[in-house]
Amino acid sequence: MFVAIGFGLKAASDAVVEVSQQYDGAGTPSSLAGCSVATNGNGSVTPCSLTLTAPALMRAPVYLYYQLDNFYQNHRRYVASRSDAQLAGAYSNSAGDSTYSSCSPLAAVGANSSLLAPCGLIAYSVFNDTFTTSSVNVQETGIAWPSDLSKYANPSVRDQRT
Amino acid sequence: MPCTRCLSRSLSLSLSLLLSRISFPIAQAAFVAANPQMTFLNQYAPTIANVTNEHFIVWMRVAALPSFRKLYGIINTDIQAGSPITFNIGAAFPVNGFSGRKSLVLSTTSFLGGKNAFLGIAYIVVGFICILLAILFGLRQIFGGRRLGDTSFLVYR
Repeated sequence: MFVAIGFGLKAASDAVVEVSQQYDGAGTPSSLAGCSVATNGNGSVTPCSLTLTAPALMRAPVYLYYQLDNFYQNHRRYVASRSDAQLAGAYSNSAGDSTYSSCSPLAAVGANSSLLAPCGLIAYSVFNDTFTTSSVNVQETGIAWPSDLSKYANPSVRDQRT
Repeated sequence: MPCTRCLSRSLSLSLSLLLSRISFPIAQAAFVAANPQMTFLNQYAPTIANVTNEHFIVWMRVAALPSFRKLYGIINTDIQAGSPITFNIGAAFPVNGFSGRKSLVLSTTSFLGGKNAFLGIAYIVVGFICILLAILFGLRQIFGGRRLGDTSFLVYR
């Protein structure tokens, strides 16, 4: 019985069509060496292009993902370094405020200790590569969990005046 | 008696409502100059306008393992076999500092999710072990198994 279920599950998994291409990091093919981002690049954007070829018919909806390896988003201090109140729209420009205490160790940056909005390691290390293509239409909305969407809001203008 | 303060009150109400609905980036641009002590999201991540950007929200939902994929977009058309899709990447995220790797993935899904043969293989392996044990015990029973209810092995003190 297990064998029958097993073959069924394996068949379902094999039915998934997937194609991926590494474009940065150790083991990247030399044709994509131009995509590498220098560690001290100061946030400059490196344009490059990459071609993915579907190995078999891929039925809609086809999902576009970016994959990161060796990035420990599950590190204890990383996970805790965020301010949910700030992400929900709370605004504060005093460093001692409680909105910034949960962002330790990264609540402010720079020589002037400029407060981050939003603060925290998770927000500051946000993945900022962009992918565009003219071959197909990529829908970039409807990708977040619906339950997450309600937890994020921008501060109101009035709050910023105080 | 006509309401004398109503008009001005409703005016101020609608004005404040209008103000609060002004989108953040517009107001922020004016405010940033006045408040250099804050660094906003679209200053440290220029491709992301504000915290309601879905890519940002997807990133903030932290992954459980060091090797993970995050959804970037959905393509609602079929892709024919062999058709090449060229992506223009604006690469800004440095991974060499922590020996990381970046990849771009296109994938379809099944009723179970993405491509993962582990569960299927696990079931097959366990199934084979069960069959093996069943045969083993069956043979044992045929060649020298004891009768049910055999009392010869009972030992009384």
